[in-house]
Amino acid sequence: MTADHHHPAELAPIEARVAAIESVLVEKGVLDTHAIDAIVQHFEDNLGPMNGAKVVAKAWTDPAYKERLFSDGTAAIAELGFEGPQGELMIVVENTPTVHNLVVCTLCSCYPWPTLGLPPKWYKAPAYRSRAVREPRKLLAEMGTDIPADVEIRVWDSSAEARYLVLPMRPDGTDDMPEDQLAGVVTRDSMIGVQRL
Amino acid sequence: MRFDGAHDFDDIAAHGGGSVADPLYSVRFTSRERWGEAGADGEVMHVDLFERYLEDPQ
Repeated sequence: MTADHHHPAELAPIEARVAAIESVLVEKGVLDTHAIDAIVQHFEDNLGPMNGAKVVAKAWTDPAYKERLFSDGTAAIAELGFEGPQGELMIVVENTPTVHNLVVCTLCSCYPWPTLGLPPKWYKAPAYRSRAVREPRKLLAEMGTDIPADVEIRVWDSSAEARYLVLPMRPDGTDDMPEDQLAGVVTRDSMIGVQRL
Repeated sequence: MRFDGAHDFDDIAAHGGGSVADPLYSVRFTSRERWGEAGADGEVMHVDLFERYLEDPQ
């Protein structure tokens, strides 16, 4: 260990800028550090794809819930306690043997926070955002997901208003699984539509 | 097409014009409609569009 081991690692420019802004806001009494900690904690503990996975597992096991999910996605998802910013208008789209759904935000990074948490880096990359529109089948193949030519690909462009959640097809061999175990087989990528289960 | 109710029109709100509601639709385009011969079969795209962006096809 070196003599200056107590010095923190050098910050990236954006980290330094954020830290500087935060300290000024705290100093001026605009921000409360406890509030920041609570928000960060919320994002770390309460938001993430495990919420969306519970929605999917319930839809697979409860036909009445699945129906509610399609008639009013926002309300049906809120039944499980998942609601809030970036999830005010939730649309659930269903994969079937003839239809595969893919979600993108061509403009920036619109994403359903209450069900999936924060978007992965690639979701925000210009290459993903443009190619999802221009050549989705080829893009998916390159991401390891081959969609047969006779399956229609439906691309959904998220916006400031509407956010999407893909309901993947229930995998074979899961008939005997209870709902909580089913949630464990649902991946984040399958709910964005870049993966099939 | 899907109708999502009225929402604040972003182009006005973003320029400080306040809250002006406009009907919002999700409109489907096929890949061929968007890209012509360079497009592909079996691929469609759904885009959210405010009513004031839309033209009467007549």
